[in-house]
Amino acid sequence: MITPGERPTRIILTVVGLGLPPLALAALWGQVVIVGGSAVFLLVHSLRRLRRLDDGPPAPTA
Amino acid sequence: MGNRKSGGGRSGDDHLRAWADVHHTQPPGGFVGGWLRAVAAVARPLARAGVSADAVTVAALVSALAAVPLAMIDGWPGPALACLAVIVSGLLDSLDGAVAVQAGRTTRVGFLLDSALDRLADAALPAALAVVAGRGAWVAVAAVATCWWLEYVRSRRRSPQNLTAR
Repeated sequence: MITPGERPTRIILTVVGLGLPPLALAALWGQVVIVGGSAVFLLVHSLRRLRRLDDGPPAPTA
Repeated sequence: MGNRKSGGGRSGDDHLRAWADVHHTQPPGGFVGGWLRAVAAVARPLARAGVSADAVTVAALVSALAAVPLAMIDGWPGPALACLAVIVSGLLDSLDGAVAVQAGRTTRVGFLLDSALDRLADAALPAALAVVAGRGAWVAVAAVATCWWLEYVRSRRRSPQNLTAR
């Protein structure tokens, strides 16, 4: 699943912050918010998917 | 993974299919598909010249790490050079997998090396920003932590153990 917090976003934010130093701190906060939000979204989405799998027929064991 | 073919040079469509196989997804369209085709066009001559995808991966890391000391240079040259280093790192990061696909040498070693070194590069980017900002060290720590957390969740959600173990 593609989220907004992927590497290209992080690289673009870094380039903006380094290219325009007054925005460096804002770029850092932007990374925290976008990447952190993406992590929370991916975690919740994954937990829901795995819960559906857990509630379904038992998975084969080795 | 572990695919080794002789020669070098896949068509754009073939490259997208191989990329999708490696990433366990469908061949992308739109901007991402166009970007991957462009990267494949750059990677093709490199693969034919025998450039190692792992060497490109290492070069991407070195370039990202170089951004931190470069950002410490006083005046405008520091941030400008650091910015250039990050751009080069990002381009090389796009290129390593494409070189591997074009050369028909996508390997498990390359997959792990790319992922592991990318996490180090992820740490360098907020560090360079904090240096240029002159403050915000804790924000940089938070940025690195959230980045690693996202990649960890992505990695574990794909793990086959999550189908059989709690």
